[in-house]
Amino acid sequence: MGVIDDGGRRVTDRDTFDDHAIGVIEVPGVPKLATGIPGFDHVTMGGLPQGRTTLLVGPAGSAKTVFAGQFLAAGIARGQAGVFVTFEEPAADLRANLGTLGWDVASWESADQWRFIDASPVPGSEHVEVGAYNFAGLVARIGHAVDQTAAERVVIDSVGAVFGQFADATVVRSQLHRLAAELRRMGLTVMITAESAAPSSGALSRHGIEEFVADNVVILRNELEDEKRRRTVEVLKLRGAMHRKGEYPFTVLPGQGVVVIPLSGMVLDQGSSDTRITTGNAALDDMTSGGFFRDSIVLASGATGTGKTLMVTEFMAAGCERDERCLFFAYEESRDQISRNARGWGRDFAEYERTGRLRLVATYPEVASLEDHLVEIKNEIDEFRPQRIAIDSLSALERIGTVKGFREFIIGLTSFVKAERVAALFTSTTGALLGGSSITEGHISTLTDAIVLLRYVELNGEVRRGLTVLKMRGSQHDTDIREFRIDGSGMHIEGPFRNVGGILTGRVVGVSESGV
Amino acid sequence: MVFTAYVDGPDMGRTVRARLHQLCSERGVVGEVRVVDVAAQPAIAEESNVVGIPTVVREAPRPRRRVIGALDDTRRVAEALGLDDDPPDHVEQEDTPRWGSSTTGAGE
Repeated sequence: MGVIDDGGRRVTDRDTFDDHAIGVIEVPGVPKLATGIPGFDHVTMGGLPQGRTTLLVGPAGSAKTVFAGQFLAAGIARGQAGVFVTFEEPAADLRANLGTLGWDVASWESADQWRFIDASPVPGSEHVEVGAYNFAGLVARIGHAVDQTAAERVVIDSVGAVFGQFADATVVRSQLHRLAAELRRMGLTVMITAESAAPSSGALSRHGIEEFVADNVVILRNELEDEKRRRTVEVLKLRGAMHRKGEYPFTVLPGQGVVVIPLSGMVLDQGSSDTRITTGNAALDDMTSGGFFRDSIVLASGATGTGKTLMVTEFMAAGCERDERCLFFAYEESRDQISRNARGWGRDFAEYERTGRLRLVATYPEVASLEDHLVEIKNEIDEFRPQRIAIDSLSALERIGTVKGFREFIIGLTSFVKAERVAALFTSTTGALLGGSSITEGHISTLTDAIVLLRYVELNGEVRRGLTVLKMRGSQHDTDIREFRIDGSGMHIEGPFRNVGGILTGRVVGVSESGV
Repeated sequence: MVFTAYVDGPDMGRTVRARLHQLCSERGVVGEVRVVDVAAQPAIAEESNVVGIPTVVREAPRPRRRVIGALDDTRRVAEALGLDDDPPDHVEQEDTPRWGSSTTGAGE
């Protein structure tokens, strides 16, 4: 684990979670086959051991078949044909099911890029076992399909179904072992799916085959946590090869299939920029000694109504006015509301959008999981290629995930935003109207380059607004708490509050002039 | 009776063929055996969904019966392939299984 230097280069290949962008290193030892499954090659540090068998273990409903199917689909995208051996679902069903992910398996079949070996049980063809047997029939069929397609990848789905078809578990074990050896001799990189064992058994897979079939084990999970489903993938072992440890969330999306979200391992090696960009507010530019840095992540935190969305609006509008491409993710308000608000502050978002400078993505957080949102954000960034992005607010996303899931979301988000080298402004809503902090901040504050606090200040029987730059990496900044007002032309930052203390905690007290 | 024997290699082919012929002749059954070497004819193995080797399929009379294994235990093999059943001339062309019907040879 750790930080990997890929030279900080800008990559041109813009796949989702492109592995060059996040740094895949080549590890000496067993050569690896880059699977092409988005994000997974990062977790495996380059792919699965080439010419070996990897066991994919998971409970029912953990997307084993889809994951295995994606292993083949991603191979085809890289010019490597695949063979899918099914002992469970008939090939026709698989073709249809994988089709819902946007994969046209039938066309790959007719192009000799994909072969099914359909060993699913056919009603009426039950057999009786008398005496010794081996799996030479299966080996011959796989060999035939590999010859026809020049396949490099093979999937066998699933081990449990093989045991279900044959009476003698001992024979099946030894035959699967021989099969794995045979496929290895043929130089094939194989993924075998298996059902998880009951937790009490102490074994990994239900039939305990990991001990003799596979040197490499990957675990899929689909767990219910705080009433929310969370899919993760974990590489348990890759014999003779390094990999990243721990669970990584993944999601399954139409048209993309499995997308693994790399987290802690994402690279933070970008050289930082000294270029300043305007915040959209002259006074805030002054407070930050000339604006935000070109490639920095800024968090604006404040209670509801303190002016966070206004800050975002000014930040976006300033970019658009300079012909920069600005991407705005709104999770709290509709497009109409946002445009109306902007108009109320004298900014014409409709015009910016019409001229292609602004892209406004307004989504209700509950429509998708955090992982899906993260992939959507990433896809939008890849497509629109903005110079500025804003997310209003992270807190709205926080409520749809678990604490752990949200932390991973924040890490994933900040990591690739940094990799993209865009200026980002995120907002976070504090729970308390006066003072206060939020969980969001706890997760993100160390990952941001600058933090701006917006606060209500109760003073002399009046609620006023204050703003301060709490931190700004690599730059001098104003440490005053400045009062600001909001009117029809936007945010107006004025002088510092004098003679009061405790604004940030929400317990404002008068301070005598001599005490300042 | 017509059988297809799916085998791996000519040696196994000869052994299985001989064993089937022996089983048939012991019972006065006329047996016809087609041998498919899966290594040489993998497409046929694919078509017939053969995994375990050797596999013997009784093709006729219907219903088909399938036995996997080295056919060591003659009594069980004969039973599984229905060699001891009544000569089922009256169901010869049946395609669908007729479980519990006269094919079980109940009415001697």
